[in-house]
Amino acid sequence: MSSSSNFEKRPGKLALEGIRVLDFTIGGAGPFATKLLADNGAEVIKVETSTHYDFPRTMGPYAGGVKGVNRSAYFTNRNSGKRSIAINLKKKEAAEALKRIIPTVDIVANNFRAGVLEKLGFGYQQLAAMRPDLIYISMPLQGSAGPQAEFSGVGHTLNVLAGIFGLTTYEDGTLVGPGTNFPDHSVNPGHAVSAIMAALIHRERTGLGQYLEVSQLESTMNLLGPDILAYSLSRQNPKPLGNGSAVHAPYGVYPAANNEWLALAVESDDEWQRLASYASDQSWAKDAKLATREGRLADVATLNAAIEAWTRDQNARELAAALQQNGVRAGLVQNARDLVDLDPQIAAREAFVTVDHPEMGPVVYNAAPYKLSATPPQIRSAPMLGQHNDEVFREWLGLPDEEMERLEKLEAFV
Amino acid sequence: MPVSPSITPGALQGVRVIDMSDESCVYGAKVLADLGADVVRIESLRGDKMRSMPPFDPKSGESMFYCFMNANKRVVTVDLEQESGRKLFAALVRSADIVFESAEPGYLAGLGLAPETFRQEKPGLIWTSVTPFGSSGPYANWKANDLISQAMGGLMTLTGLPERAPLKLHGEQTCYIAGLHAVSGTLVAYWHKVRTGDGQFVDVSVHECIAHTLESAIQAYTAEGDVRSRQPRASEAGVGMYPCKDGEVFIFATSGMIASSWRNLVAWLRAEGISGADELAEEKWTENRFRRSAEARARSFEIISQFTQRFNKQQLYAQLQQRGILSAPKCEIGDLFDNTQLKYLNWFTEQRFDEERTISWPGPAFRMSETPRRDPLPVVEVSDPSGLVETNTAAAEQGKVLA
Repeated sequence: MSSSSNFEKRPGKLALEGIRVLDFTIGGAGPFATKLLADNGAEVIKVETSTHYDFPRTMGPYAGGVKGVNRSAYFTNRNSGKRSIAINLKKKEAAEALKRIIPTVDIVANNFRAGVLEKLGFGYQQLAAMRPDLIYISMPLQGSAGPQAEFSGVGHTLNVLAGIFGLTTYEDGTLVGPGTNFPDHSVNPGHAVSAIMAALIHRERTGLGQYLEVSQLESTMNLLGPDILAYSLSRQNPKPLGNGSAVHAPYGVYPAANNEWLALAVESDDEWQRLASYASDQSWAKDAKLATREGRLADVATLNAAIEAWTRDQNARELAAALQQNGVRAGLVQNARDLVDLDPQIAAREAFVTVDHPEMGPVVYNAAPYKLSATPPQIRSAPMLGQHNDEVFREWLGLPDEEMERLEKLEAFV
Repeated sequence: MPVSPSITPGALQGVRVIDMSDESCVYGAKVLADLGADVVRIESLRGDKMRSMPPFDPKSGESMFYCFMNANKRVVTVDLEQESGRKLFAALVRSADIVFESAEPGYLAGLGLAPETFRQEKPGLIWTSVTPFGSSGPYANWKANDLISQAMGGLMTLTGLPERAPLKLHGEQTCYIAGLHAVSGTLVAYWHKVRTGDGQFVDVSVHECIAHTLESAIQAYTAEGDVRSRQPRASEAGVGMYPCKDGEVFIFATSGMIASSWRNLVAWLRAEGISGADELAEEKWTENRFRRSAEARARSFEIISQFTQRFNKQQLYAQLQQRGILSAPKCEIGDLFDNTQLKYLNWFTEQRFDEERTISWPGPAFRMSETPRRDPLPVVEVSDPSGLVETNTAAAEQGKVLA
């Protein structure tokens, strides 16, 4: 199998070129973190086996709806720009072969429970003996030690445990929880990348590596930092607000034509005046009581009903644009089709990019949500399972043919 | 060497950051401060909007959002409408390694403070601009906030009940999502600067950060034509909140990705002789379509909940975990302080707040063995800004000593 085809085109210099990452992460949060490094040019080697591949490979959506380990768009979006090796580390010879790469590795990443990689000889202490300035990051669910460190969980259960789920309610207290486990695909990887980049900078300045740990519980709970501070002073849990605000009105989503929704927020008396002058034919727009924040907060339900009567039959996209032209914070509640097909801002900034995949054909990825003027990140294809065995073991490590054959006979590369 | 030997320097010790970011991303500047950077926050003469953002301390009225986001920073008032203020701003920028701001595109250039001018003068400068839609494109001057960003970016359509309105996530989540992407971009750029001496412009779109946080909603549409939206609450038998004596426990016993949870749950119920438990072992309960039916959801809830009600929630959580059943106790903020694991980890940091009360800070979001997070300290207000420009020379020296 041709191994390096994804990596030949290099139009600009990427910031993390020359940084090598050995990536044992699986699932959502871990692969999303190392993906951000790969998109900036790091050489990320994803370690899999054909029996224990990264499980999102068999989670849909699939290219053309056809299932297969090399067909999941769930997988590709979290693994752009990585190389994949298939290797059975339970074979001693395979583990020894892979360890040869450690002296050239800057970062090792994993999100296993404590002890799993130690058993295979890939724990921090074991690898730091081979590469003293190694940066090693673990992303356990609840930390690597403690009475519940061994407890298992997934994004759903973690959100419940961390309090995020219990705070996602309508204003009447109806509990629903987040519709997607957002800490997994933004915040936990974001904290991991912050730690990794800070550690790289520290290594450059001091020559020292270090051990990093992102407990997904600790990471997620920081998303409630202000509420934790407030509770510690008041001993009061936050009141359910739904889409509303304790300090601003109107603030929420309002039904519009074609089953669409308009999000609208007024954060000052000045913004209210702008909304009122746009909707000048409406009776609420002329109501002097509503000119002040206190007046608008006095009876939010009546105000919301009046605004709803005004938005109900309008086209939300057009109304949002008109309100924005008048300096009012407003927007359409967009779904994936709106974002991909109809959002001119997404299109202008090329926020989604299409990259060819050896088996899936053209695949849509989210581009990095930031632009770097000197070293723009680049989305390159996610790997097929084991696509880069030859490149890593023959080209990078220089394993001779007879050694490769011996390992193949031992079923090391499966 | 001004660093006391008892204090471990942070990873970004000696790195000066000018923070003029707003509530859409200020969490990013907080992370830089936690990492040891010298973050100087610029506040306008009109005051910082964040000071009036909930939640509040009911006694003093102080904003806990402001308090959390600006820990370990120094704040200085700068009036950009005055020539003297613009001069001070320019001096502060010249003293800095990183500028982290969220002014409307074009605003600073209109005051003669264009990022490009500073970058020409100081080629190593990193200038990070975080704006609702990025610095270019047809929406570059549109306004947003947490609600508008979650709506337009595609998060809201995924949350809530199908028969009700789309629902926003609690507590300014945009700030964390966009703030962390902005930190990633900023630190990647700063790494490049450390290696090559070259700075750059980091242009962050909050809209794109949110659209990057939709699990696979974008790919479900582009690969399979499926437009995801809000789902019924308990979408599958074995998944949902179950009542206990003193609250609820969430059980995630699907038959899909991690089927062992369902098998283990059914085995436990049968071993305990729970009425109806044998039914759950029948073949049809492995079929996805049946599990998602209203009938299956109601019947399984009836059987499982009569058992869960015998326990209090911490007992049940421990028992479920022992049996390999994915689960977690439902928590409100107050419950987090009773979390056994967090107590073991000594996670909360207690500090005196006023004469009667202590305040509990969240522990670190991530841990670094050699460069631990700086302990949280409330923001320090600087009344004489002239010292800020001079003291950075010392900070820079400190950075050099480290290097």
